[in-house]
Amino acid sequence: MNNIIDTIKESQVSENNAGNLDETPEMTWLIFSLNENIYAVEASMAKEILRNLDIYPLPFVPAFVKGVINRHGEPYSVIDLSLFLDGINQDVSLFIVLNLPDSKFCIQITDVLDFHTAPEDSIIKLTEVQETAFYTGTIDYKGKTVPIINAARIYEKIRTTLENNR
Amino acid sequence: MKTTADFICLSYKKSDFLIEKDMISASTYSGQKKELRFSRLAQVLGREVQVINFDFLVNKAFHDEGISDECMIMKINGQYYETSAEAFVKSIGLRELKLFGSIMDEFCQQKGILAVRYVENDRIQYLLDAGKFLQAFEEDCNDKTITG
Repeated sequence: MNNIIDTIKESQVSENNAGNLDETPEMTWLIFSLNENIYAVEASMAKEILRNLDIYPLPFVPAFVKGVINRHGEPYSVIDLSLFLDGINQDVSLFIVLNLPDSKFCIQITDVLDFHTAPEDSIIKLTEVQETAFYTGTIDYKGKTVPIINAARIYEKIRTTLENNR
Repeated sequence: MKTTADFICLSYKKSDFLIEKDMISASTYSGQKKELRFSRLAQVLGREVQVINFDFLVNKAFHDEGISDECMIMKINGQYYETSAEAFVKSIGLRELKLFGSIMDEFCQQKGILAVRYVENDRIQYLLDAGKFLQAFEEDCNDKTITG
């Protein structure tokens, strides 16, 4: 008679095999809102979601840098993504810590809506001509076309803005 | 290797400001009731000097910290400042001071905000280079014309 561990192992092997038959790789997206608008970011770009933290002011920074939060004793700069993308100020205490190399940034968002898994080929990539600076493409989420945030481009824009403000 | 350093801690209602103790060459109490304006001429050690109001800088650049009547004048790197903050010397482990990271580091350091330290009761301490901070403040004021 199998013990429970063997049973779990067997079920996982059969699940993995079933997954392999499907062929199409999947991706997971973090779906979030900025005021009334919905956006997606690759789940792997989100290191942590934090809420109810004070934002401490930082003078002389561009308006979309709201200040710094205390993330485990380290200062993380807060980017108000709504102000950055749409020019609309937010007053919420919800943050996604971005998984960007050598940086301590988080984005201020309105709400976390879902973790949405979809086949990789369901992304509608924007062509180079269509591609705006801050989106890589769109995905379909519950019948809505949701833009995918390009965190690396946003980081680059922040860098150049700071350089120009020195 | 140096692991701690002494700082003057200027403690306001909401936050503290740290300045390296070595940067401060003189300090004296000033009895004058303060007005919240950028600077004034004051008699310090028998000389008339321009004194920058540190409370004004903090209130405008960070947030409203209020002012009190007790006032102290300090000479930081050759420039006189006055403050109504509670001031004391504190020895702080350098590892407790946190930098902003990559591109924010360069930006903030140029503006005279060198690092921060989080302390109990959700308070923050900003380590300042007073000279660079004053320069950044004045440059910012040229755009916004907020000097009193």
